[in-house]
Amino acid sequence: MKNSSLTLASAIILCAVSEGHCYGFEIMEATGLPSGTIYPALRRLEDARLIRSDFKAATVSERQGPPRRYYRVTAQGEQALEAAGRRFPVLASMRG
Amino acid sequence: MSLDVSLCRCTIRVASWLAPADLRTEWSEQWNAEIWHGYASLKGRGASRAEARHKLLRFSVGAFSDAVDLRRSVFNLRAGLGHPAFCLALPLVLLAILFAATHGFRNCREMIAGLPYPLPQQLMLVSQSVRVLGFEAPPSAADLLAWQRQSSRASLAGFVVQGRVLRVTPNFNDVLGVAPRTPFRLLGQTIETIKPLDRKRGRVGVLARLKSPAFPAEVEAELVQVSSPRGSAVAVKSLQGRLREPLVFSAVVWALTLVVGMALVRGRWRGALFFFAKTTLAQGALAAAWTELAARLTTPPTGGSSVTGAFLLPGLLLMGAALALRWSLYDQKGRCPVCFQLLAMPVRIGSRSSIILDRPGVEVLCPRGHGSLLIPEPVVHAAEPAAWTVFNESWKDCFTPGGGSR
Repeated sequence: MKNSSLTLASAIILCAVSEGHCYGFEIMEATGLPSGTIYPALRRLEDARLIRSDFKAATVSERQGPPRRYYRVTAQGEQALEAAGRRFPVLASMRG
Repeated sequence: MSLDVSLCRCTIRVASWLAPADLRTEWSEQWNAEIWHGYASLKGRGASRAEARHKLLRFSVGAFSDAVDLRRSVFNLRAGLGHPAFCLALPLVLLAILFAATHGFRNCREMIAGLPYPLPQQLMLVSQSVRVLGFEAPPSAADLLAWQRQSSRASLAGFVVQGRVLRVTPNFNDVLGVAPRTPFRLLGQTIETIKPLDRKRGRVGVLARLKSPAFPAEVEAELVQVSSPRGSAVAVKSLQGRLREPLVFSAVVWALTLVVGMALVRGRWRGALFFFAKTTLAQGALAAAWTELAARLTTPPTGGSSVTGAFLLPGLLLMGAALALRWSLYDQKGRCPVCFQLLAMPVRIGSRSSIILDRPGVEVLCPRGHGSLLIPEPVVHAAEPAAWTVFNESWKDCFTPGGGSR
């Protein structure tokens, strides 16, 4: 996925991950987007190496439940987010 | 765990059937984990049960579109299109669609089965040559009357097909040898109603039944004598043969393209076999489609031959067969000679300024690592054939999943 082709939905999701919403359910709550949009977008963002995911490093309280996939923005993703911020001004308000 | 969570898990379970089998377990675990943690998070924040149910169900319903998307992203469309089976499956699918659309190749079956009338070899279609490019026109109603009165070697009847209505002279059933029950098929048309023919009509189709032991040439000679103008050429052709003309023509074209294709294709017997199967199916689908179309259009409702039947339709088939053959040959050239996968990953190599040591061209690879094909630069090396290089075992790692080629 080229940075220039980042859609608004993908940019919003990337922004949410950047803001610390690391899990699918949290991203859904933060963005208001349906989970059926979020997970495919996360997969594409990961394919484009803008985010990466892991099952291992979860917080202590979360280890009470089943392991959970969490997402982090990569350096490349941060750059893409900046570029997307210039393209979609609405992202700036999300980032506060 | 609450009933809501169980319901969400059921939803995810159902959605998981849409996900690819090899990724299903991991995919389900991820979604179930999110449901578990989502429920715990909502409960921890003191969300009402209705709110939690709404959010969890909304979340779990998205699993369906995610599973579909995962399947779509995992299925490698390019690899699927490049697979040799796709080449064979495509004409088969076309044949299946044609089979369904033409009531199981009804016209082809009728041609093969022959006419359902007594002694069909005696039934003839009579037409008059118009002496222009060999076209044949239906005779006039006046000629028909004269022939009926004076012919001693054949019984003749007139007919005109108008849509689903067949207009006939009173002796039509006698000539046909049977009183057909409607609906029945005549000259590729379905006849639902039979009505009397207007005697004043200009041109009519003429059906003749030879009186044994007469031959078509004898009948032609006899009818010529009473034609108007006297001596104008008359053609008496077997109705069965006439109806089978499209089938015979398409079969000849089919066989011809196969022979030409097999003569042009290079490679070992496996490659030739693949080419034969591919070309047979592609040309067969084309021939079947054309025959079904031609059966309806080649013979005008009043007999004779039309521009469509004489030139346009045969020309269409010849062009189609040539294009299909060209596709077969080009497709064959673009495939790995070992596994018949379409070659991929084209890379331009060489330099135009160094045509001896660094020959310019395009190199394409077999996606399974069997070798590479160097296609020389068309302008400089057009006369040289493409050169195939076999890869040894040391290349294998580059083509394994997750290896260098991906």
